[in-house]
Amino acid sequence: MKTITPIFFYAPRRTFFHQINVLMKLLLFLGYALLAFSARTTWALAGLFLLITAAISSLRLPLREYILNGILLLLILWVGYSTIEKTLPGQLILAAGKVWCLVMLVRLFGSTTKIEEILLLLSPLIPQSALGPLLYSINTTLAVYPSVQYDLQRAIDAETVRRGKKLNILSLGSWFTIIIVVLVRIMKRAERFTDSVLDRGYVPSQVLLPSQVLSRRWQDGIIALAGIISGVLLWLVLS
Amino acid sequence: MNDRRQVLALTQAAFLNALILSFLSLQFVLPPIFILLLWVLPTIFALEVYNLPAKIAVLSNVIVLAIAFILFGPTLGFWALVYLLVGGGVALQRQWHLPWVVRLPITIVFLTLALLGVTLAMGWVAQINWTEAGNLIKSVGMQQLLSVPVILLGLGGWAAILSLSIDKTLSKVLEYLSAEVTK
Repeated sequence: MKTITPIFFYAPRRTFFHQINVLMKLLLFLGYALLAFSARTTWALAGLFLLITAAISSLRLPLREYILNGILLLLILWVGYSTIEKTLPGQLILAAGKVWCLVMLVRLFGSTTKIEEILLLLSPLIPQSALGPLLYSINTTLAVYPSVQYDLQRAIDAETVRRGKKLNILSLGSWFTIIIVVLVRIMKRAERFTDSVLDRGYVPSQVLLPSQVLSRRWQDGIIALAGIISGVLLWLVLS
Repeated sequence: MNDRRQVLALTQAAFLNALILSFLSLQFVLPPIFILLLWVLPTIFALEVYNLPAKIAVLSNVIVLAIAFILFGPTLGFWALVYLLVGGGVALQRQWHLPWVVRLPITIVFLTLALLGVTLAMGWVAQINWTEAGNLIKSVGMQQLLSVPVILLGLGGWAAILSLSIDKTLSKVLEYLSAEVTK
């Protein structure tokens, strides 16, 4: 059984993309997503795709497999669409390209933006009574995620040892045992976790005040605008 | 709700969400597990909706969907939505104390509608021409490459097995948990 690899959250780097205001970054990504989905030709989509790939490469983000898969898809897109053009398979290839563009945009956004920044952006929109539980939930989910993943891995290993052979991933019986063990275990762990949190004096109804504010620089607006304009120009030229 | 109960519910939701994310990330190393997740993940969502107060369950489900979309992208995000719809449906039926013979067909319908809804949503996002897709299916049917009743029977059977597995796993987990409480 392969070891579960931890999922990738945020890649700390000192690039302008990491420092840009999160609202502007979000607008930039939404703009590109709209452009990708309104692309009618392979050329327009390929142009946008190359721009996103260039951004990921220049930021040296650990998204190598996304780039490689994307390049492969680009080739299929080119060869396939030029031969079967307006037919349904051709459309499906173009649609797959659009979805992949969106996947890459989300990965680019996720790896250059901290969860705290998104929360700071959203906090004025959330009622104060819901803010505490929301932050507690998100923080706890992300904090316990590695240990829950480890628990799952241990349950898989234990089932492999119990069966005395390599676990068949499609064996419902094995997974039934694994799921029950893990679910019961984590529900019990949640109780112990709650006790320790309350012992440390956490009060869910306590009013929260942000400890930092989002940076608001006019340069960020210009960068986002320039990014969107270059995307639109590329889209227009290649359409 | 007192503080302890509220924090406990939030913590349980967070742990279940972490487990959901763990299973979703498992797909990166074991792609075939995707078939299995159609049974596993709705069970976890069902436990969340059934066991926790409604407000906390809604909040926690919104959080896990948002995290799934941000971390894993739109495809897995949409799948997480299917799992949530099916799991939520199962949990609600249990809360209304419906017998399993009634729950099973409703879950099958829920599963089919959720899958159909997400397929249509993704098709709409990717701008698929549904008339052409329909023509393609018709031409396949005319060439008798696949028999439609056989396909429908196969899909129905598959959905029934999935629905039964979700229901049975949830019953077993709830049984274990209540046994732990009464110990």
